[in-house]
Amino acid sequence: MDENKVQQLFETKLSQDNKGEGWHFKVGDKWLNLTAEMLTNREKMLLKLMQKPSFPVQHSPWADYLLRRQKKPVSTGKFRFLQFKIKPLSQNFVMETFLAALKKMFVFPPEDVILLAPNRGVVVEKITPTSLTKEDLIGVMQTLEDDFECQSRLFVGHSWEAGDDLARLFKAEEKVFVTIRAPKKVFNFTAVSLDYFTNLDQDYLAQKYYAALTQEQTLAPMITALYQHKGNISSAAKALYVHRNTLQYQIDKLAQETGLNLREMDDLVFCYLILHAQHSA
Amino acid sequence: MVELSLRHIYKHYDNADADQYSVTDFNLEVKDREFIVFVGPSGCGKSTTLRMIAGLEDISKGEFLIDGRVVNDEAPKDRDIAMVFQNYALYPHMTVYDNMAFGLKLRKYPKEDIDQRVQHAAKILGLTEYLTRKPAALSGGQRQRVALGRAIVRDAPIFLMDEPLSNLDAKLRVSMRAEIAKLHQSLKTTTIYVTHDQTEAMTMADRIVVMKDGKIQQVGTPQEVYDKPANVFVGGFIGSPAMNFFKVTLHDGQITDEGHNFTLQVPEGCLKVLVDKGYQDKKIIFGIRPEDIHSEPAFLAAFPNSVVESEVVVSELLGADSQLYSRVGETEFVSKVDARDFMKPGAKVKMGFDINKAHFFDLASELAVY
Repeated sequence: MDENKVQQLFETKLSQDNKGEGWHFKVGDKWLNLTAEMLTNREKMLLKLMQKPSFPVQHSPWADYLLRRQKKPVSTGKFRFLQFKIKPLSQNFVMETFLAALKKMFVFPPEDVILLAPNRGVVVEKITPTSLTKEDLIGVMQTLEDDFECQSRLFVGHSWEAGDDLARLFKAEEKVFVTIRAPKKVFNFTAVSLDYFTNLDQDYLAQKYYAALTQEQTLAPMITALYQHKGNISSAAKALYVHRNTLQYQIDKLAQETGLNLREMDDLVFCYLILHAQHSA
Repeated sequence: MVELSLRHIYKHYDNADADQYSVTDFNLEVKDREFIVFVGPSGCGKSTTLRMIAGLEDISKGEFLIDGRVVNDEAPKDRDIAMVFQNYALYPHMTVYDNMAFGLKLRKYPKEDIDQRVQHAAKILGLTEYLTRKPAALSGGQRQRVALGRAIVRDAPIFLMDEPLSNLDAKLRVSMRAEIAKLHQSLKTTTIYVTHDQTEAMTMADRIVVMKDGKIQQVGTPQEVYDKPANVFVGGFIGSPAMNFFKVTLHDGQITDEGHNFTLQVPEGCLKVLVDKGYQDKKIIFGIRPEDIHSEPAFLAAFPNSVVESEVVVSELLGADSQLYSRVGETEFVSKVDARDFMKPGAKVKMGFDINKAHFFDLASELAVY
């Protein structure tokens, strides 16, 4: 950038530092410091649009440990990370008020609630007998959604010992939460592990199998129901609201047409994997 | 007065395939103060549709109108809707009063207004004496009433309930069903209730919307969907125990099953309809409800052409009735008979199929033809 041209354009000298209010732009090893008075309204609006809102750095023993690898604030007990993402549906949504209400949902106050991004954060919870189950947490998020007019997703982390590398485990779980498609409002790692560990969405053979298994609308629900009922035809049929004979007929038909026998556990797990890996792509 | 219109509603999630919809072409007109029940198996799209009505999910295609006003893009708070959920959580450190008031406080209602609403809701729900208690000191039914109270205080003309009784034990479910029905009578709100339980649907609804795979299968009063199911799915889903289905061939005024285990005479009126629709010498699905299969000697004697010889597989004594799970050929079916007709497994039994109460469905489309 030409220093002389910049100075001519803004009729101001470049400075050695960027102190003071206004906007500061590096030009070589000097600074162009612009105050509000030097700019037209249109230029001010344009600069505001281009500026990303600064996210305050969180400081607390747990934030310093998890985000900056400083001293671990605990040495005993079991802990889990509840990661959440919020989408406000109302202009009146205030994150601070939401977080305060979220904390109040726990019988014992959580260790910390840390905001990682404007609409994403984590609850650090010490495991106690009163820790909320996944089903309880569904209720918690629904009540908060109703009160605060927002949509939410919550990832329930595993319970880890204080002696574990909690910061590393947190990062690993955070990666899962931000990269994987949330299957439900509240979910844990087992719900998404198949998607997370396989790369089947990229495989040609897997894509062909997926096409074969989704040719008829009834196949995917049938495979899912059988998988969820551990291959039990009677209970899977009940879940599908079809007669047992009907389900058996459909299984036989699939075996005849594709060679995939859903009565064999290997084939059943394979079909389930193919369906869900492709679906998350 | 509040009337709702759902016109050609579709729901597509961004991470689904382009042609995959969670809800497909949903059309429904809801009259003022109607109690509508969406019923169907898990994953059929009933909760998704409810959430689109609430504004908690975007509508991908179609229009949703409240009193003639398109509200697709209106925020939930502007739709004046109160919602009750299956998994409700109460704030454990707040009293019943504060739990019911919290949502109103967030919306900056005046204190006196909040108090009036909470006291009114508590009175309706029989919670007045519990207002200072915390949730841990309440029973399951009382906590459920607090959840209802949180919705009532909003004083909204539209109530949405998403399986509110699913987590309760059977006895409590029955009593709360009656409470909700009474509540609807007293509040006179337009209500949409979601459940997977067909008994709840049948006992509570003015009209039932039966859903499967994101699509409406049938809309009608409980009597209509029970007496005239639109297809095999509705016939099998509504009614407990479920309707029995047999694949049969129509020939010479009679229907015969695939294994030639039974032949039944088709009544004249029904026969004419089936023949006119081209089912002579064709395969068709024959449906019959368990309560229309009889074991009394008087029935068997009066209608000898209705008799089917079968073998009992399981017999369940329920008190006043028995449910007999029987087999004819390779097909199993259920009948609801008098308790005195309790049979042991393995017993050979003659059952009378009341063919006048039969339902017939097209084999390919599974749509009702009679």
